[in-house]
Amino acid sequence: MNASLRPALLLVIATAALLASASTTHAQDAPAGNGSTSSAQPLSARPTVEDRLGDKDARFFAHATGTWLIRNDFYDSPGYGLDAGYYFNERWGAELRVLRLHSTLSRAGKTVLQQSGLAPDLRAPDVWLSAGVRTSVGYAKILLWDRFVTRFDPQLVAHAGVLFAEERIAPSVGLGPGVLVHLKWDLQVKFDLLLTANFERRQRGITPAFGVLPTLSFGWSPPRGGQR
Amino acid sequence: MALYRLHILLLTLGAALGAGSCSFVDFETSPYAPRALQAVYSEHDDLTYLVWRIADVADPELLTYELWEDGELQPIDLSDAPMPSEPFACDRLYLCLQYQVSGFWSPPGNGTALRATHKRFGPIPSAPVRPQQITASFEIAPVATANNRFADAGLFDVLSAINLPHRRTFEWVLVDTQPGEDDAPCASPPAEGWQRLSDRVELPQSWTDNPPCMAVRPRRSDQPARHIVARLEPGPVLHVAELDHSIEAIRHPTHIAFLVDLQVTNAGRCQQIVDAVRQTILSEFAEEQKPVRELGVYYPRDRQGQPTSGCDQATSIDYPINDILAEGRNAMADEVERSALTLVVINNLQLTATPEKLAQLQAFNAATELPDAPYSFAWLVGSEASYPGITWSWNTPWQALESRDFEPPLRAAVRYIFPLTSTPPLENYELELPVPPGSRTPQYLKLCQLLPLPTTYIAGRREYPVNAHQLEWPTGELPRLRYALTTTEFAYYNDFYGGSIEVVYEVCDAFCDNAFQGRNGLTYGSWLNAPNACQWGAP
Repeated sequence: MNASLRPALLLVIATAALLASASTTHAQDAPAGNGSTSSAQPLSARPTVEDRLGDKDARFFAHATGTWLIRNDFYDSPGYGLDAGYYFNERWGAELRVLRLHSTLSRAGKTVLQQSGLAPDLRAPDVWLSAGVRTSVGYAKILLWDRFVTRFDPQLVAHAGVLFAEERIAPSVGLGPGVLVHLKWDLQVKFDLLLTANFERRQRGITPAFGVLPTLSFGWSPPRGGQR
Repeated sequence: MALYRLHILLLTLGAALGAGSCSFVDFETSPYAPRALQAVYSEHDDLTYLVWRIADVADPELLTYELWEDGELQPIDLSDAPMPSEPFACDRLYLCLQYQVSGFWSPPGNGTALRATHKRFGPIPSAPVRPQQITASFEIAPVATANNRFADAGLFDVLSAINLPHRRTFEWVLVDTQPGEDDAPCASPPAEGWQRLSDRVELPQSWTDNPPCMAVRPRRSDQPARHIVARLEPGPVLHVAELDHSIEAIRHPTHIAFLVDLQVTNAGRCQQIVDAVRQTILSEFAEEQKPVRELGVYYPRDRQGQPTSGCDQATSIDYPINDILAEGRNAMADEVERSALTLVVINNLQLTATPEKLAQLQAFNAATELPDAPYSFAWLVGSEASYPGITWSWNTPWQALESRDFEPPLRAAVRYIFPLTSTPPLENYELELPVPPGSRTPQYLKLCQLLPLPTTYIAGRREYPVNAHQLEWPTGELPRLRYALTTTEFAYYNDFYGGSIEVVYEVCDAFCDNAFQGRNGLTYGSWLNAPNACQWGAP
């Protein structure tokens, strides 16, 4: 090979490698063709390990949710609720969430109240209404305990809404990671871990209360019309 | 090994959650905590009134209560209280709740007297109780109102007076007096016939023939409460009259004479000026629909006593004032009121008038003092500098006939001055007071509002100062008020204020010495002996 051609050849190879790597970043954008990677495919087609089992593009979903709001506020606040949403594409989705919290004073809070009549200046949270967005940052398949093949989307979630706490209404936001696990028959399991902030007007004014809202959801995403 | 790792994982997760949770919690008194528990024992009622508060943001439906009774905390139902009440707003930021215990209730020496239990948060103790003891929880002082058609029990709630926010209703009944003395004790009230007490209760007709007693008691749900009874005396029978009397104005007839003393070479121009002044003034009278009578146009006289043209001052010596006065006197004979003789002198120069003219004008002004003479009003259209020493009633500076300022001052003067107006003599002005509507047998009178203040109250032949203690109503005639006011004479029309007299008085027909309640809500022991207080209004 002519030495003068070597730099040009290296440039072509480098460009091809760059294009190939770029195509892998769009691996979740569309289902693959017939499966295995082939050197005969054009460079613009992304390499696909296997067909995506759980796709989300243009699909609704509804999940039943269990949760526990943790704020270190002397309340125990377990709850349940419902998420309902829609994925515009494989990456972006929006959802509405209603959580009913059954808050009671914690053991320490009860002791203080019974002995002194004092109570936290936060009110017991009752209902959380919010709307949010959900973005899938990837799609993965792992083998658990050498037995269970699990496909999931790591996600980022952001919510904003209001928290009803007895007679008060507090603007609230939540932000955090989540995992959406795809099961058979379009069933889904979802786990979110949101860092929350509630802005409740207390006697001393509006003071934020930061907390964590883990939610575990189970639900179904009906297939698009005509599919399956 | 796997279990160990799971444990580490859970601990790490818990630490992460804990680190992310921070609510900046302060502790404050729970909105549901019973606060400021008060206990007041009333000996008369033999009842202990309990009142406590919760924050107004709290939902009282979520609470149940236990009260210290018989040595332990026992559940209580607020609706089963002798005087139950829904929670009510009190002390600005709280809801007040109340309960009553029969007999004397004493709190525990060391422990919780009242405990609330929240459906979600559990038991909450009350703050320490503040016990208190009173003789009776209410008092009454009944008084008849509205000419004995209604009564006000004069209820005084002692619980309110000691700042115990407590809600209860009362009921009342009339009780016969024992026959005999006026101050005989009242009979026992009946078991039936009690009615809900309001601020004003209607009384039966003719009750004043045999004044009864009034019994009042709180309304209890479990048993009749103990009552308090007091005699109900008839109140004074009062009728009010409000007079708004305007003092009449005397409008004096206006008689006007024009005296021409010009210096204008052109005779036509001279006549034009005279006509313009005369017609402007007379037309303004007509437009304002003010009556005026013109006596004529007069001219100065020369050395021979003959009238001049009025357009050449060099030939004029004096004015025909005597003729004008005589004409004015004749004209006044046709009038009922004294007329105002207005002399309009028209002079376009600033040359000093002759001594004869000045003397004539002084004679005109002085004539107003003569008996049966009209009031002299001298109006100069010209410069006062021409007539040193003469006092003019009104002066309109000379303006050229073509000037836009020629007419307006003349017309404004007519509007402002005429007709001259007076009041009748007011130094001993008397105003008759009619019998107020509804009054049949007036006995006494009370002056409630006077503007201006009269000097004397006249009842027949007797005269009283208006601040006398008791003012009797005369028999056979109406009383009068005498005023010492300032008489106004010949005031300019727009300056005249004849004034008005306002009198509000009330007349008593019966029971004049008895107690009454003013409209300000205060009760006075005797109408007759409360000189500064009327039932009509606040003193």
